[in-house]
Amino acid sequence: MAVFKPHLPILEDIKTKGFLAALLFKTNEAVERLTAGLDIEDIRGVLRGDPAPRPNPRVKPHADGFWFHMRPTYYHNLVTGLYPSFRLGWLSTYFFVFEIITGLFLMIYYTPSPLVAYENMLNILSNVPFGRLMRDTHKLGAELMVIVVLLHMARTFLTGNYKKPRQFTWATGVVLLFVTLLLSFSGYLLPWDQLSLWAVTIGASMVEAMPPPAVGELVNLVVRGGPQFNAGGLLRWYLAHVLLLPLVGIVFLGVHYYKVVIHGHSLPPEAEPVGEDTAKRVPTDQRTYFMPDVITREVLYVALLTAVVVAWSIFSFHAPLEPHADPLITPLHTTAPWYFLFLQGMLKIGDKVVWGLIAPGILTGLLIALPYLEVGPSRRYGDRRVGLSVGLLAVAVMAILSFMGTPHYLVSSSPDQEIVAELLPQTQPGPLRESDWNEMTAGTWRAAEWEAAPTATLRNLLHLYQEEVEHAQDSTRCRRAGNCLTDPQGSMLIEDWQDDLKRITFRVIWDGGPDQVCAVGSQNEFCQVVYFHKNANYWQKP
Amino acid sequence: MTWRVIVGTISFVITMIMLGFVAVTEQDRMANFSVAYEARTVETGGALFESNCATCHGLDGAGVPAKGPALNTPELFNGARLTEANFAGTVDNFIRLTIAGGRPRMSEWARAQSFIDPMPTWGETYGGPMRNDQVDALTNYIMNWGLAYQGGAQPTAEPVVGVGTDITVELPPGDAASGEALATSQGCTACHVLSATGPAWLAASDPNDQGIGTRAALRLEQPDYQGAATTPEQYLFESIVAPNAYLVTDNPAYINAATGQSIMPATYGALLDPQMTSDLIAYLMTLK
Ligand code: HEC
Ligand code: HEC
Ligand code: HEM
Repeated sequence: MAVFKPHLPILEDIKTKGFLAALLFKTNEAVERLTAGLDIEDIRGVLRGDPAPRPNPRVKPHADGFWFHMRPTYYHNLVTGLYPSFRLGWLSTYFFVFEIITGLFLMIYYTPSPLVAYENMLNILSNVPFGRLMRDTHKLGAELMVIVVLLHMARTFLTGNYKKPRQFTWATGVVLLFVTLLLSFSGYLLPWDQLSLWAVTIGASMVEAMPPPAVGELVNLVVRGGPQFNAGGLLRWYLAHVLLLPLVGIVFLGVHYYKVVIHGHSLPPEAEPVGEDTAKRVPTDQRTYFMPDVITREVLYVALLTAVVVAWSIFSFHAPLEPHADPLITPLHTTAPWYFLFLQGMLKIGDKVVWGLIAPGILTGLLIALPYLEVGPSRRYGDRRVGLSVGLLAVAVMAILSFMGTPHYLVSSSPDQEIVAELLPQTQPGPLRESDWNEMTAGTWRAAEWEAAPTATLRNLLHLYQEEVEHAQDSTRCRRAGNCLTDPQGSMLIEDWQDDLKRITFRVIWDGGPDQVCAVGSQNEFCQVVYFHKNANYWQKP
Repeated sequence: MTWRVIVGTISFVITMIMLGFVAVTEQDRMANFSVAYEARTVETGGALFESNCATCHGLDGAGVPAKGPALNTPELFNGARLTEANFAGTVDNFIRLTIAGGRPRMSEWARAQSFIDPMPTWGETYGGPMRNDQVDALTNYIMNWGLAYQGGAQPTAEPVVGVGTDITVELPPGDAASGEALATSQGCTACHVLSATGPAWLAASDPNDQGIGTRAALRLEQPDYQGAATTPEQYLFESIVAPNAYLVTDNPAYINAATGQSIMPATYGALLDPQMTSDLIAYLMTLK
């Protein structure tokens, strides 16, 4: 007589069906529960592209499962192809998830403290298997995500999807846009290198302008975590990057998706009668079921894109890592990240308050209010000439403003420094550091006599040097700034300094220059020294 | 439909192969990065050394008289200095420690060479201005000098035969231009630019608008002059190799209160050869 009797129905099954059959049966049952309605045979049918059996088990996950209830059960035939959505919304989601996964990996090796953050980055690069790949894909994914989200916005604008009844979908989209931009931007600060520090400093100086001064100061303190960016500020931005923004993003992603299911995917504008929204009324003969058609497309896009991102990161894209952040050294030509260049451009136009706060504020307001501004009922391109023209105009203005944000526009640095910065940029390795160390023959080389230099590397460098010298003498740019140099001459002194280390002095003189070479405080002369090590391997990037 | 599954599967397999490729090459990549990074710290260290240390240790690390000892020298790397300082760690640690903490109280060894100021503290941890990674970069840069002395290789520079302290010896003709360069490389300009640390050489910085070339003649005629010189050139010679033969007392800071001697090192007779001395004198004579 057993004291207690185990209740294991599988034992019964094994007794009646045999071991293997019982195991299969149980596995099948588990799969069906996990997918909320599809057993193994159903899944194989989906993957093979079999016609749906009747009754269709493939609609059950949409009704009973969590993940699929966020996706429509079927689409209109007209919206399953590339046009009109280009799958950009789906790809935005993909990048969001991709960033979370790669980001978690990086988080394991990262401490948000100015004392060790930079060292952590070095450790990730030099000591963590797959560390560089994770860092590169995370950075590349962030940039691509910004692009994809912007394109997604552009396409919902072009096809007029924000119109009634999808105004709220658009509004949540705007929140997601800001989350995306801020996520990308806050990530900038974390490596604690020069790039991060100065890009973020430029951004934060804008909020400082907020009137009245008391408010501006307060907001500035909140954003920087103190009068200076330091431990406090880094921790704040880190927490925003890994906690606050992803959280807001996930919540709004849920709302956004919910709205998309509720309203259905809009048909191409020309396929609907003007002013009507037929997305939810798909005739039975026009239906394409999510499973298997749409899901295989989506998975295909993801598989392809992952391969592209991974290949790109392995073979060509490497996230830059500049020297350690140093509040005392402002690198020449710091710029905001590209998607904020337009702000930097606006700041060059005029007042910080007007162009750094009020103008961006109005832009944001316009973006959210768009559905209530362009109220015409028709989504057809032909009926929206004004709206589309204004949209294209806005893109053009953004492009111009972004250009104005680059150092090419109105930066008042001296042309002599520009010459050297061209060969020896302060924010990336540049031509000199990427040249062949062994071909940097010791000696004094004059840029004007580049053809006579003994090695190809030197000839290249000196030629570039000479071109820049000539630009400083006469070019539209220096003429506009009124600071062209008279008779500038460039030379370069290469010394074998230590074992495997060369010391290279750039010397630009004009107006005859001083007698003494590179003495402190002399006139008509600019000197810059750089050390160059044989193993520095800049062409390999970080 | 089927082609989507096939293309998707192929992409997935390709991704996995690429990850496999990374897995296989990752060790090499990490090692290469470490080497490259170390090399870049040497570059950074060079720049830091040039802007912070060269005034005392010389741009080439050969040392500056009265300011700081040579670092580009075999004694630092072959253990001689470690033994002298009773330091049990490695050269690398010795250098890092000295840079980060400085030598707030000058060592006996340094005092014997009459350096004016002690080695400053640089590390942030000890109240200096530099971050740890900067101290590391400087250490790597200085250690890189050591490579040249590995395997017993000695510096190729010929030892200087000093001119001595006898101011009556015949000097070769001097060259003012190389004298001007020597004034910087030998550390004279560390003291003789402003009259606070030593009599200013340029007329513009002298309270009486007299350059050293003019003063040299006037000093001889001063009633309190007790030196052995009979010509302005000899006076300059004497001032360089035997600063205590006649003390300029315009400023109490010129004299070490404890010893009553000039703060100008009395070692130049051994450090400068006849040519160098003559060049310096020729240069000084141009500063009227
Ligand atoms: C004000 C002049 C001065 C400056 C500037 C200076 N040093 Fe020194 N340094 C000295 C003196 C003097 C000593 C000898 C100290 C002693 O032994 O007490 C010394 C000693 C050293 C030593 C140890 C040498 C030995 O053999 O004991 C190292 C290494 C060194 N300095 C590195 C540096 C570096 C690197 C910098 C730049 C960040 C620097 N120093 C800047 C004056 C200076
Ligand atoms: C540590 C600081 C210091 C250094 C380094 C130094 N001097 Fe002097 N020098 C002095 C002081 C202080 C005096 C004035 C006291 C005296 O007469 O010795 C002086 C005096 C002189 C005088 C006499 C000035 C006069 O007005 O009569 C000459 C010439 C001179 N130094 C040359 C040199 C030369 C050349 C060098 C480099 C090879 C040099 N000094 C390095 C501190 C220095
Ligand atoms: C993280 C950012 C975003 C994600 C993940 C996301 C995701 C999605 C998805 C999956 C869809 C379904 C249709 C499609 O693929 O086009 C969609 C539709 C839509 N999105 Fe977004 N979106 C994001 C940002 C935005 C932004 C910035 C806007 C505009 C300001 C926007 C506005 C819309 C609108 C209006 C629709 C409805 C389109 C239709 O019905 O055809 N979304 N979004």
